[in-house]
Amino acid sequence: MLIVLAFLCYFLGTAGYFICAYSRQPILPVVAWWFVVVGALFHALDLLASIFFPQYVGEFSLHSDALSIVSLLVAAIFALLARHRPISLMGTFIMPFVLLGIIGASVLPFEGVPMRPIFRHGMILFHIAMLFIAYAFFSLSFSISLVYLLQERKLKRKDLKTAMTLLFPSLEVLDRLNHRCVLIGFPFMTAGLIAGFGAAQVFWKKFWTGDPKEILSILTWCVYAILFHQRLALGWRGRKASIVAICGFISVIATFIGVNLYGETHHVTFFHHQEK
Amino acid sequence: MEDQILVVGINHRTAPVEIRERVTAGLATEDISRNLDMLKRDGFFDEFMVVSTCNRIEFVVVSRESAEVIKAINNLLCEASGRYLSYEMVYTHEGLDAVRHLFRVASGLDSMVMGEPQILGQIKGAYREATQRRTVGVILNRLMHKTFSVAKRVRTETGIGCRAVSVSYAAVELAKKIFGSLRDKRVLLIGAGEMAELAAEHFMRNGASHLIIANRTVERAIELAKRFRASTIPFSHISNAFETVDVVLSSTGSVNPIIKKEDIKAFMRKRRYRPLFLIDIAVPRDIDPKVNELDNVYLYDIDDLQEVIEWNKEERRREAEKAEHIIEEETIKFHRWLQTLDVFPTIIAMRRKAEEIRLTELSKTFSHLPHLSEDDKKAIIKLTEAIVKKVLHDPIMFMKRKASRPSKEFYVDLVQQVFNLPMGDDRRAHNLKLPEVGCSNLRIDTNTTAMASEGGNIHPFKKD
Repeated sequence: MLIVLAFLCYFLGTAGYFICAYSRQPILPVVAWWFVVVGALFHALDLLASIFFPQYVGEFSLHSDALSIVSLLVAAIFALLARHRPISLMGTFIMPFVLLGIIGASVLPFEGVPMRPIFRHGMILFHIAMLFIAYAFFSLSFSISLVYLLQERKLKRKDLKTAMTLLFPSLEVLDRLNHRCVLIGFPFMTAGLIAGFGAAQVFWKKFWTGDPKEILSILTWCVYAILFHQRLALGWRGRKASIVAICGFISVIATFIGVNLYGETHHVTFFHHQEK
Repeated sequence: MEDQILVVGINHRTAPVEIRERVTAGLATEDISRNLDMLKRDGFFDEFMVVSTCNRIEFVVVSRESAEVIKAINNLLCEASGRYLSYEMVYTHEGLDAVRHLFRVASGLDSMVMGEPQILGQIKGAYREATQRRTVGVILNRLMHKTFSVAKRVRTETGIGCRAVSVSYAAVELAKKIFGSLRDKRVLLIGAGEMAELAAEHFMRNGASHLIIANRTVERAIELAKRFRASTIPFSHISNAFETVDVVLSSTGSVNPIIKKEDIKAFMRKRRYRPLFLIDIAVPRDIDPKVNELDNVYLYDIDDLQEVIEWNKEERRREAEKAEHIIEEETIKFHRWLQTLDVFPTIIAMRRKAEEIRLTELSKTFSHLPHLSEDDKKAIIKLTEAIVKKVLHDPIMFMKRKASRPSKEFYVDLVQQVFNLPMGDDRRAHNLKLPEVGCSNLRIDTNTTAMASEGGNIHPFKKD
C-alpha cells in the first residue's frame, strides 16, 4: 500500500517536472520537488516496514527489494541536489528511472529468501549498504551523462533551436555534478567490494570464487576506476567522461540484476545454503 | 453618463519620430501642463495620467464625457506638436479596450522590440508622477497596480522576454548554455570592431571577469582596453591566450582564417579540456570551421547566431499569444471589479442607513440606562455592531453577485426600495469618498472602511 502511495507521488512529481519543460510557472518545480520528497518518505516507510523492521521475519529479495532501495536512494539524492540548485529539470531524466525501479521491483520475480540472523552480520550489512549507495550515485551519473550527451550534441550540431529551448542546466553544471557523483560513488563502491570479498573470506574461507557476479563487479569497478583517475589526473570531462559513465552504469545493471536473473551466482546459492 | 476609462495617444506605429519628438517637447512646456490641470479642475477628467516614452505618448483618462475629452486631447496633442500632427495619427481606446491596451503596453506586446522590459519602468515612472500631482483616483490607482501585476505575470509565465534578439545577446545566451554562469570567465577579443565591442560589453555585463584584447592597430586596442579595464596582447601572440581564456570573440577583416584546428588542439590538454566557446562574427570567417570538431570546443559563426535570432523572434511571437491570453483573463477580472463600482453606492447607502439607526437607538438606550458601566456599554456596542454586520452581510453579497449581471439596474432599484434608501444616483458624491478606500490597500473592503469612516465621526462614545 505504502509503495503505491510512493509511486503515485513520484509519478506526480515526474509529471510536474515534465510540465516544467514547457511551462514557466515558477511554482511548478517546487510542487514537483515536494511530491518527490513525500514520495521518498512513503517509500522509506514501506522499506522500513518490510525489511529493516526488527520484528520482521519475512523474506528479502535480491532483485526487487534491492532495486527498490536503490531507487529510494536515487530519489533522495536527487531531492537533496535539486533543493537549492537550478537543476530541477534534471527530474525529467532522473525520476523516470526511479519509477522504472519501482515498477521493476514489483514486476521482477520475488524469489525471496528468509532473513537469517547472518544477514545482520556487520560485514554483510556494510557490503550491501556501501554498494547500494554507490549504485545510486552511479545511476544519477548515468542520467546526467545522458542529458549531457543530448545537450552537447545539439550544441555541436548547431541544432540551436532545441538547445535553447531545452531548459536543462548548462554543460559545465552537468559535468560538475557528474564529476561529483563519480567522485562520491567510487569510494563507496571500493569499500563495498572490499567488504564483500572480506565476507566471502570469513564465510567460505576463500575470497575469490570466480563467480560471474564477482567478475562483473571487478569489471565495473575497473570502468569507474579509469573514469575516476582520468577525471582527476588528466582533467577528462564532457563527452568522453559521460560515455564512460554510461558504460559503467550498463555494467552496473548487468552486475546488479542481470546476473541474478540468468545465472546461479553464489549470492543466490549463499542464501539457500544458509537456509539448510 | 458613466465614467469611462480612455486611452488617447500616438505611438511608433502611428506617428513618425519627428512628430513624437515635437509632442514630447511640447507637453513639457508650461502652457500645456497648465491646460491639462485646467481640464481636470473643470471636471472634464476625474482622473488622468500621461505616459510619455520615446515610442509613445498616451493619455490615460477617466471621464464621463468621453467625446469631449477625446476632442480636447486631440487638440492638445496637435497644439503640442506645433500643429504638425494630423488627427489620423491619434488612436483612441475606450472602456475595456483601454484596459486591455494598457496591459498590452506594459507587458511589452505593443513595443517596437516585442517583449522589451523598459516600458514597464517608464509606466511606473509616469504613475509615480501622477500620484505626486494627485491626478489619479480610485479607478486609475487600481488600474495601474493591476497593470503592473499583469506585466509581471506575463514576464514570469511566458518566455516573452527571455529570448535573445540581437547577435551579441544571442552569443551570451549560448555561452550560458555551455558555462552556466559567465562569472570568472575570461574573454578574448580578436579585432576590435563595433560588433565585437558590443558583444564584449554584453559579456562583461553578464559577469565575465576579464577581457583581453588583440587588435592589429594597437591604438584602437588600447582605447577599448581603457573602456573595459581590459588587458591587451600583440596580435601575433593570440594563440598563447588559448590556454587561459574561455570565450573567444573574433571579428577581424582578415581574408584567410587566422585560427586553425591545430592551434586550438595543441592547447586543449593544457586547458585540461575545459570548454572553449568561440564566436566568429567576421565575414569572411576568421576561424576554421573544423575547429568545431574538437571535443569541448564550440564554434559558432554569424549565420548560426542569425538563425537563433530569427527563430527567437518567432518564438517571442508565439509566447506573445500566451501573453494575450493572460491579458484577456485579467481584463475580464478588471471589468468585474469596475462593475462592482456600480453597486457600490447602494451598498454604502445601505450601510450608512443601518449605522445611523444603530447609533440613534444606542444613544436612546444608553440615556435610559445610566447605571451601565463602561464595560457594559462597550459590550452592548460590540453586540449591535455584530448584529448590523451579520444582517447586512447577505444583502451585500447579493449585490456584489448581481454586479456583473446585465439586470443589475433592476436589483439596485429593488434594494433601494426594500431598504427605503435615498434615491438618485449621485455616484460622484460617493466616488469622492472612494479614493481613501482604494488607495489604502488597493482592495475595496467596504466592510471595515464604511464602518470606520462613518462610525468614527459620529460615534458617541469614542471621544471619551
